[in-house]
Amino acid sequence: MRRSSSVLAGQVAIGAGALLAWQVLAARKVIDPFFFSKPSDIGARVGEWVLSGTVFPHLGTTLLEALLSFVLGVLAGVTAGFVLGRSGWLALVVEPYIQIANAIPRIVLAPIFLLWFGLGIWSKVALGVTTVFFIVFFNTFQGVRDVEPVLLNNARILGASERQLARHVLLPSALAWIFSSLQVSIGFAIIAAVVGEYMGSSRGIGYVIAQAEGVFDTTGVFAGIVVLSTVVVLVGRGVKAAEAHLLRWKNPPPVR
Amino acid sequence: MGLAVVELKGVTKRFETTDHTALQDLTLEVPQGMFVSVVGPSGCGKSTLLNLAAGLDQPSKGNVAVSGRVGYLFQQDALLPWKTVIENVLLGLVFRGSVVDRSLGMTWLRRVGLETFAAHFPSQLSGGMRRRVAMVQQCIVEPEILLMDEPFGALDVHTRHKMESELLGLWTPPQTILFVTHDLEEAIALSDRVVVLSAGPASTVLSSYDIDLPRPRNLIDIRTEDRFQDLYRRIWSDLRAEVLKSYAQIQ
Repeated sequence: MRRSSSVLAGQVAIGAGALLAWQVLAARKVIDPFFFSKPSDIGARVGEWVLSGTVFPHLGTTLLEALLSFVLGVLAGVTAGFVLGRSGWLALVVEPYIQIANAIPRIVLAPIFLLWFGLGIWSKVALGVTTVFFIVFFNTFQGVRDVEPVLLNNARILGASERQLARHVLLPSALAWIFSSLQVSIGFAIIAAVVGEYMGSSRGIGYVIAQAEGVFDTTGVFAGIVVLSTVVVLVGRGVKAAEAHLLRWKNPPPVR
Repeated sequence: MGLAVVELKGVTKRFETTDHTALQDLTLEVPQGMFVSVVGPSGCGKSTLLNLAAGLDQPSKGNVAVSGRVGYLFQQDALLPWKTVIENVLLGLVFRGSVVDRSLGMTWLRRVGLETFAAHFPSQLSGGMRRRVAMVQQCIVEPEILLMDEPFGALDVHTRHKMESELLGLWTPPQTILFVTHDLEEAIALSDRVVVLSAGPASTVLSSYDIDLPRPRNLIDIRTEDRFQDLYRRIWSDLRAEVLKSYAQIQ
């Protein structure tokens, strides 16, 4: 108990210290408030956005894009990871192509997707899918490969069909790997949405940030960043809770 | 004793990738309702033999014929760690698409004294308890042939003797058991027949002994009986040379 409260005190101290230093330095013009803004201004701007409600349609757009790319990317990644993880031959055949595709910096695809899918949400979703897919794919692939052969053999002896093997053995076994990739994927899905919006859109947090940048409104840029990171942390918490429930067999309470 | 339910005829098993011959020209018959143990030094292909009988592996040469449903208690832990004890026990029924009767699972768990652990995960149990669950997981689908690969090898000696008694309690002929171990005492105490394999590579059946100790057996005292000791000496004289050979290979 004492330990956790001292950890919390340390965490608060670091955050408060950094914000305070920023505030003081900017107020005394040691750093130029025009380029660095001030925590108090940024807080006020976020509060204004939330109270007036102007931020929510933008946030909604960004989250919808991130959610769609997350869902589609996870579905495609898990499916491909499963199929290639089970077929050694196919995995060897397509391996160089996967390496090549994964080597493309996602951000250079943004202009192409804008041309293909237009300025609406789908160009952002496409960009997000290309990032989420590979993270989830590699982890699922590894998870399926990682299954203890004796678990598969035992299930086969007990009469499991290929479908039952997938459902009762492979998927739960890969789940730990998949979950470890979900935290990262959510972050990337949101980044992709914002980058896409930044490059060309009429809605979304990325659009808000681009607008603020266009008029040298540093406070607006930082306020956009604060809103985004808050959302990412909250969503991450949700994933952690789901993970703790689904993987509860890993650290069950001791007996008696 | 009835017909052979497991029959290996002139079986050779070569692993191409490692260029290793595990079994060479091995012939073995296991009659229905018999408890047959296969003993041999480590690395003599005992597990390979069971994998062939289970159909998990194919022989390079020769014939493997198995008549009846097979259960297989692996040497390693094979319970699914993400399922509770009762879910693991019922797994065979789920896979076979039969009616999943939870109370049947509880009855089996009661027979090994684990009914209060039904809702626990395997990681919460001791090694001996996990073995019991694994045993029950196989037994619930009533396999006609039960293959066992050094099932009690990882347990301490007292837990081990207790589990051996429990195994004999659960075993009801005409069920057939093919049991693999490196422990000759265990093999004699449990079996109707002990088959000695030669040291690997290219192991084959060296000799076979019928164990005519009366049943039911008291496993606590049986090891000190004269007839037991007599059998032990006879079989050990065969096994000893093979064990020495396998030592020589390790060094």
